[in-house]
Amino acid sequence: MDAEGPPRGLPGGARLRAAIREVGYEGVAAPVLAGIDLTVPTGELVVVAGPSGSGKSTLALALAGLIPQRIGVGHWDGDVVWEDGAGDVTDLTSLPLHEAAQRVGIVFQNPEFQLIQYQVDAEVAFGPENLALPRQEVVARVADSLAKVGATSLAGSAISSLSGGQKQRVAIAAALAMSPPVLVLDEPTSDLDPVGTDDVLRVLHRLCHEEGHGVVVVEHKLDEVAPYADRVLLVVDGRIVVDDHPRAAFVPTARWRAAGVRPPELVALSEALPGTFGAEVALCVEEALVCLDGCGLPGDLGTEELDDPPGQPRAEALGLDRVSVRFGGKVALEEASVEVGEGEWVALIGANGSGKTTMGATLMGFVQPASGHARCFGRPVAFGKIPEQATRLGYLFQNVDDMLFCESVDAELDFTRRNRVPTGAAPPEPSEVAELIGLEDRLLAHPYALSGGERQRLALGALLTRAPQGLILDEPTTGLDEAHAAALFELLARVRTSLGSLTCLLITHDMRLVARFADRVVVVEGGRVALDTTPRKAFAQVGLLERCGVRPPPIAALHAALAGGDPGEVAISVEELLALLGASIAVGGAHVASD
Amino acid sequence: MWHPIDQFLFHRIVGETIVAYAISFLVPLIGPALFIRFVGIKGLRNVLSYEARDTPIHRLDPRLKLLYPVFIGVCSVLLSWQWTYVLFGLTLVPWVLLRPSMVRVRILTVIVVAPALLSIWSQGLYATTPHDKLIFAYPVTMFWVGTVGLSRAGLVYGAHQAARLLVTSSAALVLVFTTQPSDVVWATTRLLAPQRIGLAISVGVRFLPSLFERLNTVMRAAEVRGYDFTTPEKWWRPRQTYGYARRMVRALPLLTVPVLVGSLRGCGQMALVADSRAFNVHRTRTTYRVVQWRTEDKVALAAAALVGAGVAFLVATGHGRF
Repeated sequence: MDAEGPPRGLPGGARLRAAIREVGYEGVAAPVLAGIDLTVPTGELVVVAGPSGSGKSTLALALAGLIPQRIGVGHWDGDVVWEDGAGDVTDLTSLPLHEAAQRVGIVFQNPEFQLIQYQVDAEVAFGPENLALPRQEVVARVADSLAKVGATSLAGSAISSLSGGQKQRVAIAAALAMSPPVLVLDEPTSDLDPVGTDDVLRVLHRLCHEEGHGVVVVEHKLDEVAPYADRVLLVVDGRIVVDDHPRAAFVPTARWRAAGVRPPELVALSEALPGTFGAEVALCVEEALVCLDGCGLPGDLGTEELDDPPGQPRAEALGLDRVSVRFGGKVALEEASVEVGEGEWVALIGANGSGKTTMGATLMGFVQPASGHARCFGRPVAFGKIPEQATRLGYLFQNVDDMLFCESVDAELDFTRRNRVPTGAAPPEPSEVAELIGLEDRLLAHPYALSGGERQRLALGALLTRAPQGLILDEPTTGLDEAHAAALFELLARVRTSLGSLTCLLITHDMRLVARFADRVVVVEGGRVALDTTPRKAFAQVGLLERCGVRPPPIAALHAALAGGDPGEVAISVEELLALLGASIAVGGAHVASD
Repeated sequence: MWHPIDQFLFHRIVGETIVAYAISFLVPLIGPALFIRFVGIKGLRNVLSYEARDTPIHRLDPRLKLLYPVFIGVCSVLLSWQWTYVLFGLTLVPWVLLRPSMVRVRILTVIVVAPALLSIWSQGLYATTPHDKLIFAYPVTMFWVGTVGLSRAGLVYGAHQAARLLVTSSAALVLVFTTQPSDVVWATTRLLAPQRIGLAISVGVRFLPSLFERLNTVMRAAEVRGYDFTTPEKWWRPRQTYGYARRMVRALPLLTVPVLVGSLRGCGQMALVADSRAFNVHRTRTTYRVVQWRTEDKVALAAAALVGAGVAFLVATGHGRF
C-alpha cells in the first residue's frame, strides 16, 4: 500500500513544516516537545506513535496551529508554516483558527464532541455555511466531503443513530469541508471497533493517495495502521527518535519495546526470521505469506502441538437459553443460547451491533427477553432487579467514568460498606482490593485525577468489593494505550490467580485480550451464536470470522493462510508461530531457524 | 345533627388540623406520585424527544410549528378562562391527527395534568382575600403555613391559570414530539434568531438524548454497585414511595457528578471545533437547507387564521375577553 504517484488536485511541493525548538507546560520542568523538525508533504500518510505522555498529542495540536494561541502552553519556541508550493508561506500559529483550519484540519479522538449538529449533512455544511460561501458551493462541498469519506448514504441520518466509525468519518468529512490540504488526526480510532478502525484508515489512505491530501495520524494501533503508512515517527520524551518508511522504522523492534510501544506482530516475526524475510519486513499478512511461501514450507505446520487441553465439565454459572430480544422492531438476539461454566473465562466477539452487549445486558437484567430464559448462578435473571443481581454478578461498563461517583479512591472502594449494599459471601476489605488493583498509594486521589487505565482498574476494584461470583467486562481495553492495557492485563491475571473460582464474560474486540485470557470464544453474528469453541480453533476459521466482522490477530490470520484450507487450530502469538515454524522449517529442510 | 366523624374533622381543632395537614401536604404529593407511577426517573428520556411518524403534523413546515405555541399562548392570554378551555379543546386536534404512542400519551398526561392540578390547588390556598368564602378554614394551629384556608375564589382563579398552562403545554409538546431537533434549529435560525442562540439550541437538542442516555447508564452503573432505583411495585404505600423518594434524593449527587463531568469535558473541544469551522466569523451565513411549502402548511395556516379571527371577534365583542 505504498504511495502511488504524485498527489492530485494540489500543487506539487505544497507542504506543512514544523520547526519546534521547545515547548513546555507551566510548572513542568522537562519540555513536552524539543528539537522537532518535521515536514509533511501533501499525498503522504504519516503515522506518529509513542508511549503515553511522550508529546504526540501536543505535536498534533501544534501542527494544526492550535498552540500557542488557542491552547496555552508555558513556553513556546517554534514555527509551524504552510508552504503552498507556489512560493507563499503562511505562519499557522498567528492565523485566526478558522483560517488555519483551511490549511490544516484537525480531528480529535472522540467524535462525540466534534459533532455539533443533529444531522449529518447539517454537520458537514456548518463550516461552509459559516464562511458565507454561495449555496451551490456549500452543497458541492457537502457532497464532495461525504463522498471522500464514503458517507454519502448517511447524509440525512441523525448523528445519534451512527456507529462510532461512522461518526468519526463524519467528523473527518466536516473537517474536509473547510478544504484543508492537510489533515491531522489525534488517535481517531481509539474508541472504534476493528471494522470502524479499518473504515477510517481506508478513508485516510484514499484521501492521501487519491485526493492528494497530506495526513498526519497519531495512532497506537500499529498492527492496523502500518500497512497504510508512508512514514512512521516514534516520539519519545518529546523528541522524534525514528522517522522512516514503515519497513525500516519498526526495525529493530527492541527500540520500540524499550520505549514502551508494541511493534506490529508481523514486523516482530519478520525480524525474528531474517533468513526467511531477508531485508524485507512484512506489514500485512499477504506480504508475510509471500516471504514464507518462498521457503518451501509444508502445509502442515504441526498444529497438533497447540491442542488445547480438553475442558473439564463445570457447573453452569451463566446461561442464555434460546433468548430473543427485540428493541422496537429490531431483532437484537434471535434464539441465542450460551453457557458459561463456573470459573470459566469466555469471550464474546462479533461486529458492532451483532448482539454481544445485549447478551451481557440480558444476563445482568438490563433488558427483558421477548422469549427464552437467562440464568445466573442457578437462579433465573429477573429483569430490572439489578441491585439483587449485582450481589452475584459485576458489570464493568465500557466507559468506566460512569461508574465512579465518590471523592476519592478510598471512598470508591468503601462505597459498598458505607452504603450497606448487599454483597456476596465474604467481601474483601477495601485495603485488600486497593493492593490488588495497584492503587494502595493513591487512596486519597480523586478518581478524575487518575489516568484512564487507573480509573479502569479502580472501577474493577469497586466491583470486586462486592465479592461477586462472576464478572462481565464490556470492552475493558477500548481507548487504553499499550502501557495501560498491559497494566489491566496484569490486574486481570492477578484477579484470576487470587480468585480462582471467578467466572468472567469478556465482551471485546481486542484479540490480544481474547488470546491471553479466554478459555472459550463465542462468536456472535446477527443476534445468533455463529461459533463456540477455543480461541485457537476460532481464529483458524478466518472465513467465518470475516463474515462475522471479526479480525483475528495478524499472526493467527497468517498461520491460517500458511496452513491453507482448514488448519483446525492456529498460533495466537508470535512466539507460538515461531516455535511451529522452527519445527516445520527443520522438517522441510529450509535454511532458517526461529529466533 | 353532625356525624361524630364530621364533628371531629370539621369542628374540633385536632380534626381540623389533620384535614389542613392533608390539604397542605398530601395534595402536592399527587404530582410526584403520578410521576413515579407513570413516568419514573427512567422514563425521563422520553419526555422531550422527537417521535418519528409520518403524519400531516410531522410534515408541517418547522417554522409554523415553532410559531404555533407562541400564537396559542398569546390567544390564551387574550381570552377568558372559559374560552381558553375551548382553545385547549382545539389544541387537542393536532394530537388526534398525530396519534402518539401510549407511552407518550401517558407521559403527556402526567406532565400536563399534574402541574395544572397543582396550580389549581396552590391558587385555592393562596389566592384568597379576607372576603372570600372559604370551603375549609384553617384552624389557628396552621397559622404558620401563611393562608387562612381553601377558598372557592382561589380555586376558580387556579382554574384560569391552569387553562393557560394546559393550552401552552399542549401546543409546545406538539412541536417537541413532532419536529426533528435539526428542524427546530433550522426554524429558529430562519426566524432571525442570532447565530449564538441557534448554536446553543443546536448543541442542546443534539446532546439532550445523549444526556438522558448517559443518565440511564450512570443509574445502571450505580445499581450494579448496589444502589436501588427500582420503582416501588406498591407505589400507593407511603413507606415504599417514601423510601424510593429518599433513595432518589440521596442519589442525586452521585448521579450528577459523572453526568456533569462527562458533559463538561467535551465543551472545550466543542468550542475549538466551532471556532475552527468559522462560527460567528461573518454576520450572515449561507443556508444549506431549503424547505418546500406544502398543502399541509397552507391548511395549517388557514386553520390558524380562522382561530385568530375567532379570537379577535370574541375580544372585539367583549365575549371572550380576559
